[in-house]
Amino acid sequence: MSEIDVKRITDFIWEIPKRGNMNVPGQIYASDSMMHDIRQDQSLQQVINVAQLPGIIKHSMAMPDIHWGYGFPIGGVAAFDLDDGVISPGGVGYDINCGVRMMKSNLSKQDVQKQMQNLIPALFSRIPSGVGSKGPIRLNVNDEKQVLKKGARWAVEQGYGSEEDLFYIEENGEIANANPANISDQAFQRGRPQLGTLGSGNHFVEIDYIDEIYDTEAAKIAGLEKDQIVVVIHTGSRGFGYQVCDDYIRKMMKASEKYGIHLPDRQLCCAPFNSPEGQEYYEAMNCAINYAFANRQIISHWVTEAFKEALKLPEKAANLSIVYELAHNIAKVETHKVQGKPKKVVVHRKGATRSFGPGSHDIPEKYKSIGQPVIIPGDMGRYSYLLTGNEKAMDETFGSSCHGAGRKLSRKKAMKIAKGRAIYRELENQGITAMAASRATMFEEIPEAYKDVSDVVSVVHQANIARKVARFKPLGVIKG
Amino acid sequence: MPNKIKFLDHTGDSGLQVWGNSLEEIFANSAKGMFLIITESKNIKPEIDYSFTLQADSHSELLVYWLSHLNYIFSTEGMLISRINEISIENCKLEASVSGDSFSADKHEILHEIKAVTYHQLILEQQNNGWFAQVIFDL
Repeated sequence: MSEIDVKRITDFIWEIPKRGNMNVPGQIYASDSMMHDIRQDQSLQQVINVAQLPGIIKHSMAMPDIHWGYGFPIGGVAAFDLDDGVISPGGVGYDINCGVRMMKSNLSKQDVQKQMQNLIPALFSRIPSGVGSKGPIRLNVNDEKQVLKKGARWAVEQGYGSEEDLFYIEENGEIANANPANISDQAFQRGRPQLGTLGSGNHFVEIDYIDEIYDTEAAKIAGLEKDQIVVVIHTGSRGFGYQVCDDYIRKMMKASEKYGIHLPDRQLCCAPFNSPEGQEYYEAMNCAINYAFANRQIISHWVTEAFKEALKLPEKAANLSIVYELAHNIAKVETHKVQGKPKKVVVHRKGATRSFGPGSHDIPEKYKSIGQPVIIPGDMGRYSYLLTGNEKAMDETFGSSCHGAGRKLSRKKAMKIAKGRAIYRELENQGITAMAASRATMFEEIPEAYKDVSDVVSVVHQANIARKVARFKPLGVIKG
Repeated sequence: MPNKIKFLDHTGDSGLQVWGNSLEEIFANSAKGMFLIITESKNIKPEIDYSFTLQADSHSELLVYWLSHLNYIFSTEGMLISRINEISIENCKLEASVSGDSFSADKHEILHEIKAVTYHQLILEQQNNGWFAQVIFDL
């Protein structure tokens, strides 16, 4: 158990005072009971470790879904000066641009509830999922390079979805400064067969219905109402991103030595942002970011097709459209107020999402009055949330918020608890139809393996870094 | 000597502790352990042979490279490794010959996708009665 000295600042903000080799204090968003759990693993030490990196600004932060990760904790947020600071693959994660897309429809729970036995198999057959799954998309080397440069726009150009989708994706689904020349052959090889695949583990496509509205004005602007069917897609850059991260961790370990950067943890390896190594990783990471944008755009199109194929609603079309899509493993150059003045920084969000407040430049016109939508998925048995970003996030967390619930039980413990149980039938009894590519996935992903996401959401809401708009509950899910 | 392979129970991910009489045995046991995380299947026939060479700056780094490369072969070619035929390590250079089978959904049940072999809590050390390694995988 961690005996690290932590000071309460407010009901939901805790500080690890700056001491020793820390360049800034740590700042953790959590409730009292969460702080007790957080102390059980190494995540607070990881917040301290991140605070030791050069050029870090203000705080080494952690969102309320913090748990230990590789280098940075999951739920970690850290911003670095572009001139004096570093960029670190460990501050992004292996699944670069793992993220979430939320779509809405003009269908209600009543329209769809009795047809889940058709819809879920239709989704499962259209969307390749599971370990080793290959998509139907055939890319040559040049195609793949185009994916890496153009992201979701490449997918739209190939006929997946429409131009309008791009407005509702973070970075319009296409991040600049992506350089395929910085990608290894191995990453190209891993990525080529996997475009348009869901992956496994905690990746999913989920059909939900809105069961609670907390902010009627914001819900109206987002086009959401009670009982409405929404779809959530959670996946990332697949083997492509994992390989990019792996390749650059090796390079960054050498770079850390070259630049004399003290690493309290090898997985915090990094290079000065403006160094050749830093820029090389940045441009490679951007390729993986675009790969994930393209991936979700393609899967989204197949979701639309599955709805058309499976649902017998002659007088009604599903009309799926994007509410928003955002990343939760990413490093981005953004302008934030530092000591009262706008400053460009490189914000690392690892298991944390962007949460820009009302009036922000980089959010769609439609949402400027309410703030950027923030989608926080829970486990497959309970609920997920939509929030909006708030001005407080811009002041305190470089416009960042939490990303999900986090696991409570190890995979082994979850398997042990789930063994002998009819998990699919248990979910059916709750009104949830599920399909998974692997029996192991269903057991490991049982709802009780996860913390309650409403506790995490409650903290960010009460700390005012994002505000609750709606809650939605699952009717069906496909997993890898 | 304790059991050769022990699986670690981590909340989000998975890991191994491995014992061996030699460095080569550690590497071989680590690979066997990793493939037991990937698949429960004992039905992997040594149908396909594959030889390769790797170089690193340290033995612990080489261990990560070795497991990463085997995971890469599985990820790109669907090859599940069932047998380490030969492995030699000298001056942080590894030469290996392995055998395995192509993944087939009819024959092999895949349990987990390993995103990466991490350096987190990585241990590779010589002990009184042999060698010991610990490796954590990102799932």
